[in-house]
Amino acid sequence: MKWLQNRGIAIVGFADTPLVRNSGRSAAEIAGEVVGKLLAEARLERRDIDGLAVTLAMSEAANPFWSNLLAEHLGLSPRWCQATDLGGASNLGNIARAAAAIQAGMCEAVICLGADAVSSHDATNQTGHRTEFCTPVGYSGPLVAFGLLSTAYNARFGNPERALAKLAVAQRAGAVANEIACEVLRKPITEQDYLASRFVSHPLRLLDCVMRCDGGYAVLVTSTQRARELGYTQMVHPIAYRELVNFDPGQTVDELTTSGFSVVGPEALNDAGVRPGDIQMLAPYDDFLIAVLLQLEQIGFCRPGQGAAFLAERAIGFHGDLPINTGGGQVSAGQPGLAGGGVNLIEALKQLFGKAGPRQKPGVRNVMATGIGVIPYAHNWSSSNVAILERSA
Amino acid sequence: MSESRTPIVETDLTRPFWQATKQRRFLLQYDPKADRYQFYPRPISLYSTAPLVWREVKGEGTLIAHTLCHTPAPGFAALTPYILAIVQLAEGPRVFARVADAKYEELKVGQKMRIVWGDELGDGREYLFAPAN
Repeated sequence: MKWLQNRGIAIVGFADTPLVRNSGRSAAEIAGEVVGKLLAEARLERRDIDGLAVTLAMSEAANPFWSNLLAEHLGLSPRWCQATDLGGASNLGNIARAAAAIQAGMCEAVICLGADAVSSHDATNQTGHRTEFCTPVGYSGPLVAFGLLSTAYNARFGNPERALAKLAVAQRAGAVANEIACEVLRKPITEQDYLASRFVSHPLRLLDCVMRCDGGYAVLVTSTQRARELGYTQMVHPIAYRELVNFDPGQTVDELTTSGFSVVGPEALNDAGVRPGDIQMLAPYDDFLIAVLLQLEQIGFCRPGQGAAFLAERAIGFHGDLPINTGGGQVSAGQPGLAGGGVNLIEALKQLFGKAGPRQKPGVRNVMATGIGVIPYAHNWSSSNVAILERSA
Repeated sequence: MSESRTPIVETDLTRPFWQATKQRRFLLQYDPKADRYQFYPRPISLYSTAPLVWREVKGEGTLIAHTLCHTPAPGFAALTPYILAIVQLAEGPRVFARVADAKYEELKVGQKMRIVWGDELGDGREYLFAPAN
């Protein structure tokens, strides 16, 4: 999608809900709230929307007709409609899919939608190796996978816990200043709090991990030309996008920590014609803090093994020189199931539209957002994607 | 109330593997054309279009990663905390399983491990890892 650098695709609006633990709501109800808000704020009618891209919802995982049901619930009649199942990478993946559908002439204005109520109801049943070769032998969830990954990293490069403590504190400060973050998480923490938090899957601590919640978001994607016709003056262009599923299936990489970001990170930077130092803000997918450090190294912000030193050197808070997940990320704002990547994405858009309130970095022109999805067998993660978003001049 | 373990529901594809575990034999799928092994069992070879065959292996390998799990899977509460690991077998594939007969602090990435068999499923089918020495 190197043509994205022509800035022909525009994000012109977005909406989100507060993140709430055990809200008791349904994903459809959350979807209705964000789409209603988006249409009102974007001053659009339903007839202006001819595309719909949704993430799956863990709370509705038994329903094989999810995107069509949402179209019916919401009164939309799209010419192009799809559900994306890249796990946590689906959110960013839908922005790219919407861009491709617009470019291909299938539709002109797409709502990218994520809504999940997984903390109220989890309907997932991951068949395959998970139910046959993982859970029966003791696998209890992603924290096991990331505990394993952390040990492998520590053995190679040393334990980055001091740097992760700094990241935990910075992201938490963002959540405290973010009105949509889960209320239970909106309390400042210190590096000592992080280091003293209990081990859940050694060396992984409680404060390394996301907490599930309910919530959702919607993003309006159209062509830059159509955006101008509709009278939008403020817009954000995705200028590069790369994704990769099932990195290294033949297991040619002889260690556990190298992920698909080692491929798609440098590719996305190259597509946009920028260097890591040109990126002004990061919105990396953060199911676990170690994932952020691995991405910094593998996308190319620093060399392998230098992630801890990089985090120690840079000011990563929302008023810093390289802010990371200014709204708290998922680790400190909450993970609304498969809409989780929307937490990172929407905060990036708030910053680029100048709507990040007390967390606003003045004049930010670009943000790199990422996605991670799905835990494979004895590997790191399946889906890796990277987008570079840029505010129009 | 203690939850019971998630039962292993074998499929046509994986039945030879689970049948062999009853005799405490560990099988990998082998692609004779590519001369590569694979695990977990897949419907096709990852390396060529050749038909796969099952081969018994010794179960010796190298520790790639381990974690001390404090949040048990169903049926594992009494064992908590317990060690889970990824071992890369000498034949190439990585296997995920629990570690027996070891202390978390004493395990080192890179050390030699071997597959041993546990009885906690009642039929001896549980494969675990233990330090090789």
